[in-house]
Amino acid sequence: MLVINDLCARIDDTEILKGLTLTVNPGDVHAIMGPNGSGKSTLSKVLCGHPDYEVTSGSVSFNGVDILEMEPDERALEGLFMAFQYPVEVPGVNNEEFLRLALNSRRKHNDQPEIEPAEFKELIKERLALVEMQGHLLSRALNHGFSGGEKKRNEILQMAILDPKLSILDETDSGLDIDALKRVSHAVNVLKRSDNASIVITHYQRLLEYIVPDVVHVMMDGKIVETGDKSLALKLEEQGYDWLTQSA
Amino acid sequence: MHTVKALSLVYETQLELPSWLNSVRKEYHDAYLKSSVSDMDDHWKYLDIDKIMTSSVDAAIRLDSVDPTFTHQPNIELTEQVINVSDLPMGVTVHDINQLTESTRMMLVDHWRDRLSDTNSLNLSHFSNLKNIFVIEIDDQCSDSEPLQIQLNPSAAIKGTEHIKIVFISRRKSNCRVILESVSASVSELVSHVSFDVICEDHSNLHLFISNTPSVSLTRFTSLFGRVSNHSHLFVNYINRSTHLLSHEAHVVIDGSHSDVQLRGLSLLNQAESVHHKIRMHHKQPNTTSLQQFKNILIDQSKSVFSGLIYVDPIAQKTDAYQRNNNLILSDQAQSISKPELEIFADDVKCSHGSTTGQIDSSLMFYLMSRGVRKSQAIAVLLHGFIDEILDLMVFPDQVAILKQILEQDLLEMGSEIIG
Repeated sequence: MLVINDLCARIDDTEILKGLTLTVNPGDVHAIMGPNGSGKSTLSKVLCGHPDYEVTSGSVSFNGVDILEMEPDERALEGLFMAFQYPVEVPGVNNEEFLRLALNSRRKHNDQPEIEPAEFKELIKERLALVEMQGHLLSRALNHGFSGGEKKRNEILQMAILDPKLSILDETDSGLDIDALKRVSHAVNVLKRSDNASIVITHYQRLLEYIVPDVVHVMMDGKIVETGDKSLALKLEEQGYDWLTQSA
Repeated sequence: MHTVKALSLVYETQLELPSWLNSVRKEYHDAYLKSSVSDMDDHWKYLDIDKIMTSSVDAAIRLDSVDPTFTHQPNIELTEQVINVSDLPMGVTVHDINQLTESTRMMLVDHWRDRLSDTNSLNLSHFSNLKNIFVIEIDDQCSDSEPLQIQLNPSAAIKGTEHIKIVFISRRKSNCRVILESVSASVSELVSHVSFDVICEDHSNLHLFISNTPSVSLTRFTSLFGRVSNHSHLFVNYINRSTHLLSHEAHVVIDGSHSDVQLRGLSLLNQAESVHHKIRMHHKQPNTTSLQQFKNILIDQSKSVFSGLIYVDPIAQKTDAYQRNNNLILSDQAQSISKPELEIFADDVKCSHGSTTGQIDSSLMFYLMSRGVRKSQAIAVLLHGFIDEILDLMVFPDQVAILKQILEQDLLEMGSEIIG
């Protein structure tokens, strides 16, 4: 589904990604861990086409399509989704109306008609229940004045509505209390299918107790330095990252 | 949707002012003659006054164009042909200036004399050249079911400058919404100066919605002088679209405790259009609140100026006042000037101001586009969000719905222009 080969990217004059290679197959859940500043969030932004980052070399193929020349909206319409670490507040833009706009953009791209209002109401009701989000947040401006937990939950609601092929969860666990973490993780697990995939970026093993990864990667200095199964996350929890630095 | 009845004020001829009003006018005229161009220059230094002064229009705001002789044309007749009184909401009356009660006359004279000392040249000139005056009285405990809509229709016969004054007297415990729309379909070149005197008595609520139909060659001035008594609320909403030069001045005195005044403005400007908001919010009594919130979207070579003052008297403790000016600049040549000011002479108050000027936030654009929303749509969504913050607070649902439809096209055009 996603094939990243020797990807290098920078912001301004600072090289962040330095030859990252990664393959994600349908049905996979990949976890990416790593110390601060290792480039985890940069990877997610580069994949989604953030304009501040420049890809200097390497390739990214998503379902066989080179996405590096695509605009962020085109990548999203191809089925890429990022749950932001810090979702931005968009004053004046109604949360529910934006959700419908985003969904209809996707449906239009897939040659489907716009969703009927009643069908949308039903869908949103079902998805709200899945993420256990309060309905009144839909009538408010997008993320505006939301608490940290509400923002994260709203990100997962968007994911549940848009039904992406590949979801990148950028530190979704940061700022969530344990109950919220369980609910968000439950939603991610329910949405998991054999034809979609997730990349979960996190600092802590705790999230991976609830979203069980098939593969765990460790990123340091802009590239993946170690790959393993879930036991790798446990080892990191116990020993930190120093052993990787020493072995390198 | 409600059917809004329109009160059409048609003015073709000059008003013959009664003697009691003429004496006040004389005072304004004398003050005007003592004022100087430099005073006007200072007052309007952020605005391209040359646009008016070099206009082909015979602008009476020029010093030499004031008529010192006070010659009058026959009075306009306020007959049913002009004002269909039966269309007015219950409890609202439009008075002939010659038929005001003694107490109302005295109240107005006091109001005008009270503000004479701090009236600028432009408004002194306006009063000196006054051609038409309408007094709209909202009775005690009058509560509207639908807004009063007033269209200002300058006759095609009017050339040069029009000077109109509309007085609103919001009596005790009244609650009224008024929509004022300046129409200019048949007028090619005109300087329009409309002044509003707003007097809110105790426990009254008055909502004004001031808008204009687009006109590329029209220069418009409005001046609002408000006085708000105890436990009263005055809300003024300005919507500005496509006018050559538009200037709104508002001077509100909050002269009663537990009162609230909110002034909001929204401007969508393109080409070489200019809009200027000059606000003076004077807190004169304790326990009062006020808000100034003005937003502008600018493209091409357009220009906006916001000059807002919160003035708090020494006795006006527990004042809570805020002013905010946000400008979205969508082209390299558009210009925005923001000048928020606070003058506070009481020590137990909460006053603040905020001003932002910038382009569309790229992080917001990325966020929306990362959900599959096209760039042009994302721009339109953000522009909508920018203006909806103002529109959604207005208590004129029908007008806001119509306005949103109209602005939809404006915003799409702006979005397309940005993308090129």
